[in-house]
Amino acid sequence: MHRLLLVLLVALPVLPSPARAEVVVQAYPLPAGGHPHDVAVGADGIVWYTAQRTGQLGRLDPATGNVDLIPLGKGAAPHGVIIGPDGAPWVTEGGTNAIVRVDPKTRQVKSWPLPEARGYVNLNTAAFDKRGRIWFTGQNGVYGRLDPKTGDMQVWDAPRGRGPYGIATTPDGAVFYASLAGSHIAQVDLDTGAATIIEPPTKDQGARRVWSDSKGRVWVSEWNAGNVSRYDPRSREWKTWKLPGDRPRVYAVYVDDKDTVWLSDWGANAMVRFDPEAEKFEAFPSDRPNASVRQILGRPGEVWAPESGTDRLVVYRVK
Amino acid sequence: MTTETGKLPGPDLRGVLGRRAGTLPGFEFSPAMVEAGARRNLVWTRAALDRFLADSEATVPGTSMSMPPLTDAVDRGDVIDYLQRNGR
Repeated sequence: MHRLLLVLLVALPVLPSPARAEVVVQAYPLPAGGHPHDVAVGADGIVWYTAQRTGQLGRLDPATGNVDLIPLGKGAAPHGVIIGPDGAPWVTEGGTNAIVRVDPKTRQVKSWPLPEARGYVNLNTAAFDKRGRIWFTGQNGVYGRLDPKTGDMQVWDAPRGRGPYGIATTPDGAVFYASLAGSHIAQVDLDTGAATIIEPPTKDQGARRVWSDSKGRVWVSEWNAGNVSRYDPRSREWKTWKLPGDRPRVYAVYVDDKDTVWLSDWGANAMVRFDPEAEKFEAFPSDRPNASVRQILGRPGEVWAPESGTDRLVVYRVK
Repeated sequence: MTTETGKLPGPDLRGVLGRRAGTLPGFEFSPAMVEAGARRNLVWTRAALDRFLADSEATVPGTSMSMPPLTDAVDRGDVIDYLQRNGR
């Protein structure tokens, strides 16, 4: 079904610079009531999103605006979606407590439930390592790993309990997760599964999500503190920047292919682009109140932000 | 409802029944939640909690709470019963 496309041309940045790339913003309305939580865009340009409220995986074709909805089963409430090395969307299915793969062609849904003895873990986000295994977090205090080739699934208790939230893989294959309730990040040992806590310099900062830049440095969105931080695993050094504004609250972080950092600031109801070289922030406020962007993901030239508060997917195309 | 310290992502829910939304001292609520309590008169009655657990974004647009919706009315009732029993 065709949807009306809204195209918004963003005004020049407050501090114009010849080197700064222009950003064109486009919003795609989605079927109402889904509250898109996470989004993932494949190499083919098709965009997948988790309709958490309605228990479905959404598929948007940006060329036409068409949206298909794939039910994920009774009780489903999907949280995260990523594109796997096989090109398929993989979902952290919070309602059914399972890792789910949806075949992009046949739409077949395959589910790997967590061990029953673990109980409900409040599955959050996932990331593949370079060995084809998918690592995932559960906010109730676990992280785990599924090998889809064998079906082997391991779940570990997170050090310091509740909190595991965002998770990401660096270019050299290291896996890090953030603990929101625990206010730290952790690196997992890919062989043993042991998690090593890495303490950020700001106490109680609320590390919500993580993403890697091209040099393997881990960027962290700090929900409580309103900062974005960067951890360098080689030097073990941290650097921290506070977002501008009265009371920034940083939910999501993503680093694009140019190593530009994108953040969602709930205090400003804005997407924020950060240039680490110039150390400058640039805000793109949503045109609607309470956009509630909980995650950001992209591909070269496109940064996608699901607005769970407005039932839209908004893309920031960098020219 | 916990004895954990540190800045947790959600407020302590002990005594939440009958509390005005966004007013528990010591927790930094989203502006949306504060407004819901201050301007829209949202008080956490059983009915209000039921609506919030079913669809938090629709009940308090802009809430920062990220939780899966509880679509089963019986489950929601059980949660609210728990909050009521253990709230003192």
